[in-house]
Amino acid sequence: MTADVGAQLRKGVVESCVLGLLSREPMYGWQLSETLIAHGMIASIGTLYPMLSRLRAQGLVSTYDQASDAGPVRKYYRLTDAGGEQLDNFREQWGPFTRTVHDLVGKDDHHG
Amino acid sequence: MAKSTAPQVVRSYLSQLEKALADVPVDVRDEIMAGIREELDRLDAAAAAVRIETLGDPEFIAAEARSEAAGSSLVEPVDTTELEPRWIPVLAALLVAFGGVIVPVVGWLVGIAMVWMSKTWRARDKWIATLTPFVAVCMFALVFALIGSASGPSSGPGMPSTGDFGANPLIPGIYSAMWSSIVLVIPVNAIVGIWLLWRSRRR
Repeated sequence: MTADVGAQLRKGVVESCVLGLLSREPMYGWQLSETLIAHGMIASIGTLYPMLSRLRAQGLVSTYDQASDAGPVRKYYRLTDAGGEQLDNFREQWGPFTRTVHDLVGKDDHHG
Repeated sequence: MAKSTAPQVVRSYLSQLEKALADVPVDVRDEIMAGIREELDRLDAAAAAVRIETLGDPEFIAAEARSEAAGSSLVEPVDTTELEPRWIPVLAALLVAFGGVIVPVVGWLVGIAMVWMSKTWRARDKWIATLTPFVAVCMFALVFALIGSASGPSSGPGMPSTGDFGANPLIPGIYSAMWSSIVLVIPVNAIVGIWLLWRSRRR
């Protein structure tokens, strides 16, 4: 079941992807949702907001309101210091982790 | 809010979404509604229709929100402390109830120690179980002393004679209070033990 494997993998990393996106610049909900959907990390905006409330409850992201020139007042999400630490922690583990997984499952030359 | 001026397509989409999100936790629902409303705000009908097309079916968004809100976060894993065997809290509660009758004091102490080591009860319940017999005895002693002092001065005509109680009238009072306390503690602990059993079933 390829789809299930993909869903399980995404579930494990999508929060870190949100932190990664926010480390570049503060973003508003729609912007985050479009980016994550475009990259196939979430299926709809419905997935995003529960995740954002959780990250906020854990103090990893915070919000502020900002009015745009032409458009409406938007709620922006930005990374907190704790969120930055969490992201660094993830980055440190991600490289070795993917190498390990690749070593364990990456070889398919025995199948023939 | 451009609620009244919003195109029909936006208003109907928002009301469908609100209905679909009815059983999603309220803070998440508010955030989704606010996030989508701010995005659709000030768009004309054509532009809004395009946005709504990319947003997708309200029912699908709600289903995703429900499962995501119910799911655990990987940043903070769910605490999975293993459950202890069922007989441990049962034995602990029974020892609290009747341990003191089988082996005076020690049986009860073992029961209370087991209650404190068990994960079945919250700290509040453990304190209640531990302190209740002491509180009961203190209250009993207090009531006993009050009755004693109240009946003491007015005992003249009603009582046969103060001489019957010996030189120190307090001594029989203390003895009788001690025995009464022991007799009192047995049913109190039985009730506490049964209460602990009942509390452990609610877990």
